[in-house]
Amino acid sequence: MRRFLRDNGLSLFFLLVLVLALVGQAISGLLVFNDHQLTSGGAQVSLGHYLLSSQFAVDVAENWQSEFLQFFLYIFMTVWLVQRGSPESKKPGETGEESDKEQKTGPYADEHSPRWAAEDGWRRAVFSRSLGLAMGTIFVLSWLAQSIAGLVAYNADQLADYQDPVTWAGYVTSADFWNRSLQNWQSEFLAVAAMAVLSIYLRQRGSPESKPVGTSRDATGIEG
Amino acid sequence: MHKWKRQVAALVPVAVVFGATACGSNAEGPDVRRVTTGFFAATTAHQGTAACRALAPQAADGLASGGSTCAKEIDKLDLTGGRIRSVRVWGDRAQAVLSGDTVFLARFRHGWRITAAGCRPQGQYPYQCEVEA
Repeated sequence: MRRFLRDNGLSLFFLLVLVLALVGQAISGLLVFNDHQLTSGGAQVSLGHYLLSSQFAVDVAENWQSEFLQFFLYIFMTVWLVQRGSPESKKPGETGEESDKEQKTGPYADEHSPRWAAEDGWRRAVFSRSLGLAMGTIFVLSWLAQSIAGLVAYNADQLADYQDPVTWAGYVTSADFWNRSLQNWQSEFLAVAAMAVLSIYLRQRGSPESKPVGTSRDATGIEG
Repeated sequence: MHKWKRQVAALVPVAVVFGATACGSNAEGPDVRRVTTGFFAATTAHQGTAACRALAPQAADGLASGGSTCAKEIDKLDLTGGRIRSVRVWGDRAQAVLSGDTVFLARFRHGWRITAAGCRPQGQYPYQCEVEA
């Protein structure tokens, strides 16, 4: 057990704070929702009811989709684009998917390589891009979830304000849907840009996200 | 069970939840119709007290003002409704469009109640209603 905690501390920590943040979001979101219900002549709801509501679902989904979009783009673009001096980047001149020898695929896979890395055909092709595919798929599914839950929440608000509801097609072309999406995207892109640039000039001793403290600013693709 | 079948099976409850939210709870439609029909049956028969029972608390309170009661005020409005053309339910809110009126409803612990009645469309603006919460 101790070894499990030690070997998986990073993911366990972030799963824990994810749960705590969701609990906090649920409570604060319930208070906001019930306040709106009072002013619009509706009924206040319990926490259990709110957790199953479209309002809570869209508030979660709109954030999740942007996180996975961020990682999908980050994973994919770092194959082809560089940032000189950043530990987040490959070295200039090393862009692209690299050779089989460098990636230890096909005949260059060893006994410790994942099985599909050694396979020929679609298995190797899919596994070679599985991280980006997974992030991209989760992004698409969570964005779809945002559109569906957002449609229900938006139309409930429309009816509370004595206005007609809209269709799904009308909602995904609406200002509400794109405002929710874009406000999340801008912050994700800012975070990645900040990380790529600040890591050139600043250090965090001991973190693999940082270059070693004494490394020069020009050193690229080196982690601490 | 093959791994991929377990993964697909895990998505089924997710699809059900999203399907239910996307469809806007069509299961609530009959209850909305019943409340709407009962409301206009009461207003047409000038049974103000029964009509007010179908209203949301804030809507009923809004009518009862200046020493008058909800029942008296709602009788003055002469709401007739007509035939229900459509019912749309989204979350805890609903709209019933009738041949002679449009009403908006909200779901409370004890069932659906009307939050606005005697509503007329105003283009891109909110409906203008004679009874509002």
